[in-house]
Amino acid sequence: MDWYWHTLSESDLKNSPVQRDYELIRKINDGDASAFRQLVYVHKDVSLSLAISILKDHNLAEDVLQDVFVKVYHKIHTFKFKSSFTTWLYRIVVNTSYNELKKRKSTFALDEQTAEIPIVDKSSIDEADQKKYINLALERLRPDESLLLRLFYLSELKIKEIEKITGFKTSKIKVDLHRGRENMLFELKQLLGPDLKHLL
Amino acid sequence: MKEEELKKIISKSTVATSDDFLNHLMHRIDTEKELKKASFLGSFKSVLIACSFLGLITTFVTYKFFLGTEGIINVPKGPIFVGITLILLFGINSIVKTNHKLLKAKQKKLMYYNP
Repeated sequence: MDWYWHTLSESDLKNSPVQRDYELIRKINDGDASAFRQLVYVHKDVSLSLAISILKDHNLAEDVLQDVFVKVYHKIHTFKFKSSFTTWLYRIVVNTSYNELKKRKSTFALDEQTAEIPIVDKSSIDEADQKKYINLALERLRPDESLLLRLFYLSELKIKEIEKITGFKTSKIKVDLHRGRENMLFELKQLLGPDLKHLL
Repeated sequence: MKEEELKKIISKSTVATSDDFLNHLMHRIDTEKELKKASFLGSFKSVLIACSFLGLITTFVTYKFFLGTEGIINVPKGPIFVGITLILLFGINSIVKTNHKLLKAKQKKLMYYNP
């Protein structure tokens, strides 16, 4: 991880995330290959989380993310600096993941996959186990719901931005967010029962 | 559950990529770049330009020395021109198809040995 912070200049670190991304993209367009590595490093984890929301499979989501970043590498020169890079990137992540989901649905039902429930002492859940339970609860939600919850709460995007990324209507986003919140709480209660308070 | 609490919970849902994700990605991009360079000679544009150039010369030589009014044999130009054009297009199509198949096989091989 250290190499990443060493390669970013001081001005990059001072800038806002949007400006930092713009700076990195300019460097990539000028032929700096390490800038692309940095850009991927910054965005890979949240992008993977979004892909997992849709595909419900870690390995498959990583494969899709590889394709996404290859696309980004080849198309980065077309980025127009009119919106934030994350909006542009997440749109590609969401579209590619939904396309993959459509392809896979014809061969096997993703809904039938059952994730392993981690067995831990619920009275003392450490951070890693908390993460497992939260991700398991998100995995049990419908793709649209878990995606919207992550875009809204994890990436802290506004409804308008989510609209641009997903292509969903505002009303659908609001309804699915509401349902997603309720279902998330239901799933967490199912998994943790009264120990739910340990997550907070 | 309050919205702030849910936000706090979901903020913990980031999933990390595997350790070799970045290296694998950069390797894949480098491999694709190499393949792109290698495929230049067989690319559609260069094949089209080369074949068109050769076709023009062949047609010119054929008309000038063999088929023209002052040539050895007197044959109508139209059907001959159509024939040569069709053969030329068929040739380009075959070359591009073969090249595409070769590239796919090469790419598969590279991906297999360097996952």
